[in-house]
Amino acid sequence: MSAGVEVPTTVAPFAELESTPARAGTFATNLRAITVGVEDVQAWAAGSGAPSWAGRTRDAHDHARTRFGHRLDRAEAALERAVVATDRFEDRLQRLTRERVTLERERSDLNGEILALAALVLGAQAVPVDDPVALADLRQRARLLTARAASLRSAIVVWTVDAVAAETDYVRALATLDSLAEGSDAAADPGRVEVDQLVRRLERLAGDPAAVAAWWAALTRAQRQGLITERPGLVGNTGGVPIRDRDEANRAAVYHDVDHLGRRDPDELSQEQRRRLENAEHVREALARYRHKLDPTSGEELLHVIVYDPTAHDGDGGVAVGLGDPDTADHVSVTVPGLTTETDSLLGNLDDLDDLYDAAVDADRGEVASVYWGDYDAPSGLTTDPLDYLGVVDDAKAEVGGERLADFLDQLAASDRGDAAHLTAIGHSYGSATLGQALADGIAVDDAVVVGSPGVPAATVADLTAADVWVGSMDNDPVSLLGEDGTRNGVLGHDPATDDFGAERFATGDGSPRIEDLLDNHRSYFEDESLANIARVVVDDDAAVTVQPHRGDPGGGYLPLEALLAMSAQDSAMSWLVERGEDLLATGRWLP
Amino acid sequence: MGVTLEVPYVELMQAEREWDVAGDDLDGGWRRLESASTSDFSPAVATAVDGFRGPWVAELKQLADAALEHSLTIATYRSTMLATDVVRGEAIRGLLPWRLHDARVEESP
Repeated sequence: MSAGVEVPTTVAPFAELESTPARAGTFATNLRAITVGVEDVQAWAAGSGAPSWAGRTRDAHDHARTRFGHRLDRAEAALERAVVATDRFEDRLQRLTRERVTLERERSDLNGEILALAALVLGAQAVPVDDPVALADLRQRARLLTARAASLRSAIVVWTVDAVAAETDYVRALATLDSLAEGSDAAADPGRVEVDQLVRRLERLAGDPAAVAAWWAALTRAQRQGLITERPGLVGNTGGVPIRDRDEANRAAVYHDVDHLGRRDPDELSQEQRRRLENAEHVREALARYRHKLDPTSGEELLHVIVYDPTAHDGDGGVAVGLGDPDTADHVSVTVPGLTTETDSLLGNLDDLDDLYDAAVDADRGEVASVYWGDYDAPSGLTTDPLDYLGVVDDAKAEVGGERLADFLDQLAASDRGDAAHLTAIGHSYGSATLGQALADGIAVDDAVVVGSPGVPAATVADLTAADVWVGSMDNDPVSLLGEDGTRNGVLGHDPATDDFGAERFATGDGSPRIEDLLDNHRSYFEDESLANIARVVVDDDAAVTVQPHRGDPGGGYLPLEALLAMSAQDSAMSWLVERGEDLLATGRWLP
Repeated sequence: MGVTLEVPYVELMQAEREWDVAGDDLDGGWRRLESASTSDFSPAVATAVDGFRGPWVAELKQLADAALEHSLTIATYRSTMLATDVVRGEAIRGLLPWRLHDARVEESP
């Protein structure tokens, strides 16, 4: 105290959560995957066992398979309750983590102000006791800080009590399930969720994402979790179900597939089962790689599995994953990949998605979600020769894929919460043709970005969509030269980089002209300035996008495909000769 | 002594395979439950998780073992039908789908 100015003490640090939301989430995922397996076996045992527990009781109990099913039902009931308790615990930990971030920020700010006032009052500079106005001002500041400190301490106490209660409740819930007898009680509980009816209802609603979203919102936590473990494939791939719940269902399906099929003798697996297992392994690897990428405010994993359909598309599998939560994000992007899109290409594409997500988050213009959508049957005949590209593709799969993309975007819109997100669809390579088909069908996006495009199905932006269209085309990317430009016919449509088309062409650079680099150029749009520009579009910062002239505009000169290939081959050969000559001069040796 | 169990041979093979698949499924389950990490849980929660999973790991393991044992039993029976007895035949019948629960078991002539 000095001159009657009572500076409050700083607010002391407070406990951190000992249990993390990510661990609770992982444990919940494990429990769901186990429950899926137990339910599968239990359904098999019950379905082929006694017709009813009520009739022919003695016979039924003599029947080993029926007894087996009964024991499984007990385990299933215990697991169901454990899943619900763990899911609730995870949610509480996420909320507590968010609250702690806010409290800690407030504590840091407040302590800074307290220390500043203390320095003023107690420091070398004397308090102006002879200046009643200044003194009154200091006293007023001290009173306000004291009140804020008291309020913050109270909030911290409430938070601490809540944190302890979350742990206590969870421990207590598990303690009621730690014996076989308690499993029997859970199985016999008349309040146990009747999942069959819910499954039938969801099956009827599937296809109407808005109706699903409304119905799902009215379910209890136990009903949702019951549906997830009973039919993970249905819940995980049904539009209108919130993304977090779809993720929980799809993760359960992935891990169950890995557990179940991974333990079987590979020689006993059917071709379909082998592909299912391979695809599950790919998704599991992706989940493992991004396990530590957490939301800094809630502590939950950022990667969400939005679609997991491991036997779709003739065994290539369908998958969609997102970094961030599209249901709550302010800015959502959906990237459509191109040729050879299969579940086994997920990991390679995730690196680009991660870069895009980070670049968009760094812009600090609101919450971001970046989605990779690989749930269409893209052509598989990859060629290293750009001229062969035309021989392996047509627009048939783009057309079907475009319809599926439109459905997927409808699904995202149905589960979106709060104000509608700013939505950007991004198509790369053949994916731009697929996106073009969806745009032509009238999908509702704010922005469309096509990169490395071999063509889109309209001659002008106005003919294609009402959305803003952005084009990234390196002049040394041969695939981007396949579209119709007035000199050649494009199998997949028009070159969107031409001046006639009318899109904004953002800066990407032209890439290396060497023949061996041409296809690398085609894969380089999610790097450097090109990536920065895509991110600017994603976060609706159009003014910051840097541009380059359209093909055909002044400064937009380019070589047609055949000329580019001829020049590149020659240039590459010349470069090689020059390099060898430099080697010869430097070392006196010819180094091939 | 030999018995006749009036069940098509293909049904026996199918049941054998189904028990085997069930065993594999449950086997994966108890292993996942047993190995689930409790790091990043508080000591109290970790203890509660261990308390919960103890009996259920044991139960699922027992059920997995039983399923695999049943599969093996049917396989063995298939190969030794002529040398088994009625009691054994009735036990096998209990491992088959309910619709076969009345299948006759008779001593071979």
